[in-house]
Amino acid sequence: MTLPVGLKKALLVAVGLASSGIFTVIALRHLSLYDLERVFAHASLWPWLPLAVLSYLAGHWVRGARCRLLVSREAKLTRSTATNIVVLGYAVNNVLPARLGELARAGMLADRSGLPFVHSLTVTFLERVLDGLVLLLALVVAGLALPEVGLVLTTLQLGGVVFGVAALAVIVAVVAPTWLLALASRSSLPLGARVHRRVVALTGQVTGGVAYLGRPGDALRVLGLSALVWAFEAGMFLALLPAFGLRASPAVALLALGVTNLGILIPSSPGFIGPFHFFCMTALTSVGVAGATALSYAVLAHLAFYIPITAWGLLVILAYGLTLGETLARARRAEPLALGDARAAPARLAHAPEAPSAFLRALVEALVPAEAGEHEAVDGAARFVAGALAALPARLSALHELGMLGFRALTALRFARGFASLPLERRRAWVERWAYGRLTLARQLFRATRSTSLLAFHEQPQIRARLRPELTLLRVKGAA
Amino acid sequence: MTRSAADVVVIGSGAGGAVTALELARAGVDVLVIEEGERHSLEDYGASPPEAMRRLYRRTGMTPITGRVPIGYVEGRCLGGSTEINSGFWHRTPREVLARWSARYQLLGASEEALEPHFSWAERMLGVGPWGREWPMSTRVFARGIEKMGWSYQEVPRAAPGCQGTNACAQGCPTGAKQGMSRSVLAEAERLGARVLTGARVEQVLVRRGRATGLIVALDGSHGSERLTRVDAEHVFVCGGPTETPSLLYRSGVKYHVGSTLRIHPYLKVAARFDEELDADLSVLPLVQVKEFAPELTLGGGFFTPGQLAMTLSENGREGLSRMRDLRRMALYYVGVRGTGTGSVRPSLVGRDGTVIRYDVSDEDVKYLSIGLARLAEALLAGGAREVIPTVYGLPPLTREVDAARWLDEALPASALSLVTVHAFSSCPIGEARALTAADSFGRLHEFENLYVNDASMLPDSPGVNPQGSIMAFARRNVLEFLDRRGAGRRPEEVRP
Repeated sequence: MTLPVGLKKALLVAVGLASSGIFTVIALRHLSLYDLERVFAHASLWPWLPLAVLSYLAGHWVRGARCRLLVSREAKLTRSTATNIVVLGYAVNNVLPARLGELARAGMLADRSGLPFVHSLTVTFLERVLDGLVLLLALVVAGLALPEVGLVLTTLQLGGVVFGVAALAVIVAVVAPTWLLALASRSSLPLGARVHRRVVALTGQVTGGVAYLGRPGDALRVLGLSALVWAFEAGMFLALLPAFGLRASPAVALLALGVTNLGILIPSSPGFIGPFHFFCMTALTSVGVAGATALSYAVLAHLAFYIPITAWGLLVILAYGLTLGETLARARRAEPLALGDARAAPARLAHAPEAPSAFLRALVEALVPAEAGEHEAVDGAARFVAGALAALPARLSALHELGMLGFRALTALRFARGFASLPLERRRAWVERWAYGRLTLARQLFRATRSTSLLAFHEQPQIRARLRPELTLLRVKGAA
Repeated sequence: MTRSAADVVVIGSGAGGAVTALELARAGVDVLVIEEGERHSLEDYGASPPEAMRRLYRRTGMTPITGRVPIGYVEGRCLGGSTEINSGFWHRTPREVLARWSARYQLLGASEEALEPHFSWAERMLGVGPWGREWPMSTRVFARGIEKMGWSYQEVPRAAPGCQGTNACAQGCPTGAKQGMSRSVLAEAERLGARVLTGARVEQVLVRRGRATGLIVALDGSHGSERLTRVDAEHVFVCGGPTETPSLLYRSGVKYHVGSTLRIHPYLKVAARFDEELDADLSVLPLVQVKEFAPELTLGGGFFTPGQLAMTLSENGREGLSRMRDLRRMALYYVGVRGTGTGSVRPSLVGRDGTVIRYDVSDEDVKYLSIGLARLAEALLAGGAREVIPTVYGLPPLTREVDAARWLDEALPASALSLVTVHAFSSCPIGEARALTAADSFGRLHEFENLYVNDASMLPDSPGVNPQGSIMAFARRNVLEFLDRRGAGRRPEEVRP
């Protein structure tokens, strides 16, 4: 039996409200309002509440950076736009039911970036999965510090199932996008052209949404930012503990962070009223905090979580003049391919060369025979090498990056400094042992970087002029 | 995803795809060519090697072949494919190779006589001919050495009428003299009505019950994102090259003898230092090849730029780079072997556009590379080279013919070899011997009514010579056969033997 869409929505809202009501009742039973008032009266909000809010807002700034990074291959967003997109999602979740904020966020991302809606929604989903994995990690850390708390294991088991499955789906889409597309296409082909087109298009947008994680280095960068996001949010939970006279224990803050944020995945009212309070309170009572204090803490944490972001989100809506319906409609609009114009297709602008990391630049400098003042040639070569390494097939690229991580780790162990901060002569001597040494594996690890560095360096105008000064002279004469 | 249609879709615009498109367009067929790379003008050509590699080469020139000895493989990824970045050297398929293909693979219609009109057509079309002027120094010193050795050699004809020797073949000929497909065959195909879509990667050929029904194509979106479109087609010619054709077919579920028989010509390069100033970086590449030991062995000369030299020298060891100061006195040469090892091409499970290429250099390959190095070094030393530095890690430079002769009997250490290749083929061999081939004698894939291969992947095994001529001749023969079978307007002067 298929329910009408309107009825489905109404049911969803009703379930959410009922869930909020149930969790609120459970949280409040056995507690008196008098106890709560007493705890609040003795709470010291200054400076802890502003600190908590600042930490939470800083987390959103980092979320913006992460979102920007995840779409950076397809769209150029400013940091503030990306942050506003993230904040909008949170604000809408706070005022509308059924996590509509996720759709709003994807809609605004699609609108601002020009990406297809499903692609944007996948980016949002990906952020959620990353968040879930970091939260599980936070719980593992909390569990190690608080081994006696049984709640950690229960939450880990439940969260592990949900995010384990989601993470597996993401990994398949990241690691084997072409295979996934082929699978989707071949399995939907017998269902008719219309279904096939739709399935393939959706699969393409989903794999596009997670494509940024395709390179191990980029995936690590995103994971690092995710960890930072939740470190800031844990900062909010940590800062509020002393407000109620509790010891500022990072383990307890991580426990509250993990349990609360995984708990609010349960459908509830806008702003997660009820589940937020219940799970936050449960986390604290599990480590021996009194019920009234724990609930007061949860109420304050919720206010820090709710008010600033909702206000910021409303400002975003005003500033960008958004109406959600329009945004979604624009994002879903299809662009037909005009094959009639195919003959005239001009060369597209080549993608900008990859910007080399400081490490790669230092490595290229160590590999090429640059003389004093030839920095520009080294930079040019490093840019080419970065692009060439980025073009390696995924499997070899991963192996190469792993090998280079090993090289960097050994460098740090050997010299107690990062490779890039070593003096040039020492870098050259060290790299020579790898790139030209007796160990075949080490030579092979360095072969791509060595070859492309030397090729590109010796083709730089400055170096060609050094090698063939008579040609430069001829050109000057010719020009004269 | 949007939807479009064409009567015949040709995937790829290299030597095979361009010829296919031209003959189809000439017959009035509605043909769409889909090319993964971009269209470039002459102004884009002749850029610095790094810039050209970024624009015109697959994976910026970094396509690795894994195996017992890792091999660097280079191919084009632009309108015209590898014909835009190769030397333009032209060979007909050797008679003995054709005989072997006919015998072993039961390849029909592949006699020298049967292919003659197609080779003649291509040679006329591309203006294939000799250099026609005094040889550059890098050719003269090589020829001098070969003559002293008493071996036969030939100046290889090129598809580059009016070549001005700018030494920019590998960066796209900036004068337009070299007849890459984009300047010649494809231009004519477009004039006759063929449509060409560039910057479009075919993700999958849609196949069902023995028929190809269309393609899924990924296009660059307006913001750099990818957009998928479905292109319906009555017939599909896959001409994506020796690695991309089998990879695409395999991930589309077409697997019968697809991608399991890759062959290549492995090359070992050497840098040779002479007393004379050769100025190889200012002239066309060495024009002669030694065919005395063909088809197993070919000796010849390679592209030379400061970057190429540095890269080649570094494969011998760090000390080799000190010779960069002798740039003007140096040139690059190679020994190429027919390649008796076996390889495979598979779509990578990992990554977005991954193709896993594997080739295991055989002991016979190593033996011939060793013998080839000995002979090449002997010839270069006899021609006046002071030293020959091979891309073999740790092998001291060869300065005397007796040192070089050692490798006539001994095998080079495989782990020290640094090999490259620009010639790959045979990943979807054609012929009537179904136990050995992926398609029939004219490129139609076994078990399929309307799906064809028509590029280097169809050559049954190594031709032992630069393959562009073989690819073009076979591609034309096949597409004319297709038109014949289809009953489309066949010109009366075309007689298929």
